[in-house]
Amino acid sequence: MRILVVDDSKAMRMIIRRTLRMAGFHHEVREVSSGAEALQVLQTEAIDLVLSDWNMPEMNGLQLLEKLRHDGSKVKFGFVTSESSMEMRIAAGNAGALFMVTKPFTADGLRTVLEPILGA
Amino acid sequence: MDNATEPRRYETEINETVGDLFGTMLNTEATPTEDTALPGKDMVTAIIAFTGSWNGDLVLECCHAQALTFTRRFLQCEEITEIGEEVISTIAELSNIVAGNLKVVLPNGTNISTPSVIEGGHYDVRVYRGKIINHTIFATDGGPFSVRLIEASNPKKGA
Repeated sequence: MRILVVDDSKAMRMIIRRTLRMAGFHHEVREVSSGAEALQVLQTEAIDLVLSDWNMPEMNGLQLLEKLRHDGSKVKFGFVTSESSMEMRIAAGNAGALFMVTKPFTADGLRTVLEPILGA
Repeated sequence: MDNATEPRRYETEINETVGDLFGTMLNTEATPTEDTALPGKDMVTAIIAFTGSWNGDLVLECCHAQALTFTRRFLQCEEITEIGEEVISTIAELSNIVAGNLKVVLPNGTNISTPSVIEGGHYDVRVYRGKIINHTIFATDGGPFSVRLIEASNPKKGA
């Protein structure tokens, strides 16, 4: 099982990687800092789950998800974002996101969301 | 909700988010104080712009020593001893989390920018064509930092 973390913040990529380990998920983790890089990785590598920020320059997380679905990708996709209004949740769900984790988050919170997807 | 209650609502959201953020991700308390200015000269400042239905900026600011402390805690990395990419990224992300949570109580149709970060010892962030509607200095055991919310009186276009 391979996880792709998409976030323009280096600090947040480090934290998500660390929190995944703390939450008991010792899966292989790839990191990229933009939606464009994520699309490249997803074209060439087997990824099982994408954890993406929403607010990123050039291509935001929702645009990334919509592009993936438009291109026929069925990769599991969730948001890790500081913004989580109802309208965003609806847009994310309509586009095919499985979940939205709101920052700040804890290892327990991440575990609760990811366990059904990644297994214990 | 009338106009007078909105700044209080924004202040409450900022205070709750900051408390939650520092409690869960920096393992410390951050509480509002009565102080009006930050100590120190060398500062790190993160700015996030709001555009669309509500226009303004959120400015998070602390001095170098606090920025280093916050970064070590946020990343759980004691080896960070100077202002660099990790510190800039951390202060940017802290401001992004506060602004992102605040956006939920701002009018629908408000957008937020990605953070811009300034660092150094010879600058001062001033407000033109806007007013500070909330300015809170937070105390932590790693030192103080400030959060300002500025409402623009001359809205930016686009975004």
